Amino acid sequence: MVRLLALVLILPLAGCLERHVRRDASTAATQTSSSARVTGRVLDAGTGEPIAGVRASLASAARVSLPRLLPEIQTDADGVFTFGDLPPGSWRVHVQKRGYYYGTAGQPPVIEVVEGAATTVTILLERGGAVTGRVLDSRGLPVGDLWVTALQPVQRPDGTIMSMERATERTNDLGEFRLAGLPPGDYYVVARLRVPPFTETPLPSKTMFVETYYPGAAGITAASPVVVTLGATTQSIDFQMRSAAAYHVLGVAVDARGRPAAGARILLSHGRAGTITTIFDGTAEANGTFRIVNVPEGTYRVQADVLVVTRSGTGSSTSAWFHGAPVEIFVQGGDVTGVRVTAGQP
Amino acid sequence: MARWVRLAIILVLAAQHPALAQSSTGGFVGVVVDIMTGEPVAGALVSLIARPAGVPPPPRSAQTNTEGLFVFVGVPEGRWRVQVQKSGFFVVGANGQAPEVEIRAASVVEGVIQVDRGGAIAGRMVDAKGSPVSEVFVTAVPRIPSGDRAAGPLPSTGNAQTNDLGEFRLSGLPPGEYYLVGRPRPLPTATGAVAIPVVVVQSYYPGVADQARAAPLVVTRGVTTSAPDWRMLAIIRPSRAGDAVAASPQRAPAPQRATGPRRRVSGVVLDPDGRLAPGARVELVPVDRQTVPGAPLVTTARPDGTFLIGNVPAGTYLVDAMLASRLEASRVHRVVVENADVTGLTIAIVR
Repeated sequence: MVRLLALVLILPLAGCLERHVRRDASTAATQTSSSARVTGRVLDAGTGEPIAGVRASLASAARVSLPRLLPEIQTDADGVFTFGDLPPGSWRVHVQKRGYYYGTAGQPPVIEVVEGAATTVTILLERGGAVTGRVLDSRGLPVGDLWVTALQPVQRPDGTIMSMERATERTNDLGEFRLAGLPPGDYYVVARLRVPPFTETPLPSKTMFVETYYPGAAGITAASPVVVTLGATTQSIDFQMRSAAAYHVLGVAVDARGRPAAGARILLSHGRAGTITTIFDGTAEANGTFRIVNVPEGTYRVQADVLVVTRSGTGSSTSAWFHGAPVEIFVQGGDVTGVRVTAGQP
Repeated sequence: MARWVRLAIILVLAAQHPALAQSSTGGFVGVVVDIMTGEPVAGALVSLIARPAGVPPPPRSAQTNTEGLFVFVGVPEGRWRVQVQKSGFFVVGANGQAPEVEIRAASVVEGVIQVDRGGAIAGRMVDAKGSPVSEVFVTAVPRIPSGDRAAGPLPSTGNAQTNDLGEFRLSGLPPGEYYLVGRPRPLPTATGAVAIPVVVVQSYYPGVADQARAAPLVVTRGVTTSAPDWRMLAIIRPSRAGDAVAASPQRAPAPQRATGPRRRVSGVVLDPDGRLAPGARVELVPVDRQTVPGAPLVTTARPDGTFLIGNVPAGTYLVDAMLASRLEASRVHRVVVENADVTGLTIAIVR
C-alpha cells in the first residue's frame, strides 16, 4: 500500500521534470553551445526521496566493439548528477548505490542525446532486501576475512538454471556478514576463502576451509535456499565452515610438439558453466612444470593458456589469448602428479 | 615444536629455490603467532612494502597457511616494512609502526611475528536528516598525547566502509585513544562544461570538521566501543580565494537560471541560546512555481556567525539554517531576490 502511494506521488514529480526538460531544451537550443548535457535524478522507488551519493557513469550504447565509458560521478544531496560536453548519440546510464538495485526496469536506461540540447532522465532505484549472518569454524569461533556471496538461481532461455552472483561481502572479525541490495527471491549463501592476488606461492596446508553453502553443505544441490523479501533483512543465516584435507597437483604444460610451454598461464577450476570457480591462476616454470598446492578433493579442469602480443609496423599492438584444451583431473585421498596439459596454439 | 621442525624444512626449501641463486635477492620466512594463546594465525596477509627512499619495488604479499607460516623468495635486497593484516589482530611491539626486515643477498631471514587481539569501534553514520550514509571510508587516527609529538604522526589504523545502513566496524585496534574520520568517495557531481567546485566532505566523530573539536574514543582490548549517530558534514572547498561562501557545490546551476543578474544574500545565524552560531549550515532553496524545488545553495556561517551566499539568480527562495553537530534547525524563511542584494537576515535556530 505504501509502495502504491509512493508511485502515485512520483508521477506528478516526474511530470514536473518533464516540463523542466522541455524548458531546458528550449533555452539550451538558443545558446551557442554545440555539445549536449545530461542531467539525471535518482529517486528511491519506495519513498520517492532523492538518493545522494549514487555513482553514475555513461557508456556509449552504440554497437561498437569497445564501448566508450565516461568517468564516474556521483549524485548530490538532491539525487542529481550532470554530464556536460557530451558527444550526441545513444548513452546507457549506469547507476550504483550500496543497498539498491534497478527496480522493475531491471537494467540501465538508454537515452538519446541530441546536439546542443539538454536531456533529463529520472531513474528509480529499489531498496533491496538483505541477508545477515555469521560464519564459525568447527570450534565455534568466528572466521573473519571470508568472502560471502548471495547466489540467485536464474532460469536461462534454454530452461537450465544458472546462479547469478548478486552481492559479495567480507566477514568481519566476529565472522559477521551483511549482503544488501538484493532483489526479492530465493538465494543460496556461500562462503569461500578470499583469493587476493598474492605475489608469493602459498605454502601447503594439511587441511583448509572449503567452499561452504548455508546451512553447511558442500555444494549448491544440498544447500537450503534463503528467502529475501523487499526492504527486509533475513537474519541469523549462521553456519559452520567445512574443512577438508588439502593436496598438491603437479604437472607440465607443453606445446603441440611436446616442448615445454614456459610461462603459460595455468588455470585450475571446477564447477559447471555459470558457477565456475578458479582455484589457481598461475604461471608455468621455464621447464613447463607447475605445482599447485592446497587443492581439496574434487573434480577439476586444468588448462594452459598462452598470451600472444602482436606489434604492427605502426607501433600499435594487439593481444590475444589462445586457450588450451582443458584436462579433467580427480583429486581424491592424495596428491595428483604427472598432469600433462597442451597449451593453447597461436 | 612441530612448527619449528616444519619451519626448518621450509628454510631448506627456500635456500634451494633458484631465485635465491641470484646475487641481489634474499628470502624471508616466518610464522605469525597469537601472543596470548601461542597458536599460529592462519590466513593472515603478510606484505613486504619498500621504504619510501629510492625507487620503490612493487610490494610483495603472501598468506599464512594453517600453521601460520609464510615464505618470500627472490626479494630484492634492502629494508622492507612488514605489514600483517588479519581481522581483529594487530602486530605487537611495533609501537604503532610496522616492523622492518633487512633482506640481504643470498641469505634467508627468519622471523616470528606476534599479533594480539585488539579492540574495536562500531557505529553508524547519518546525515543531517538522520538518514544512514553508506559508502563512507572510515579510519581511526591514534590520538597523540600533547608533548609526545616528537615521535611523529602515527599512521591511521584500520579502515572500513559504511554499509547500506551507514554501519561500520573497525577491529584489531591497539588499545588507546582514537579519533574517527569519515571520508566519502571523492567523486565530483558533474563533468565537462558544467564542472563545479569539488565538494570535500569529511567528518570527525561525532560530527565536526576538524580534529581539534573531535571527541576521542577509548579502545580497550577485546571490547567494542560504540560510536552511534555520527553526523556526516559537507565542507566546501573554495575554488578561488574569496569564493569560499559563494559556491553552490551541491549541484550545477539550473539551466533556466543560467543567465540574468546575480545577487547576494547575507545575514547572521543565532543558536537556540541566542548566541552567534559559527559553523551553522545555511541553505537557500529555490522554489519558483514553475519548477520542482531546486537544489539548495549552501554555505557555512563564518567564525563571527555571519553568512553570505553569492551568485544568487533572481527568484523566490526558502532559507533555513541548522547546527552542524546537532539536529536543531531554524524556522524556514521566505526570501524574494529581485534587483538588489538581500542583507541583514537573522536566522534563529530553535530546539
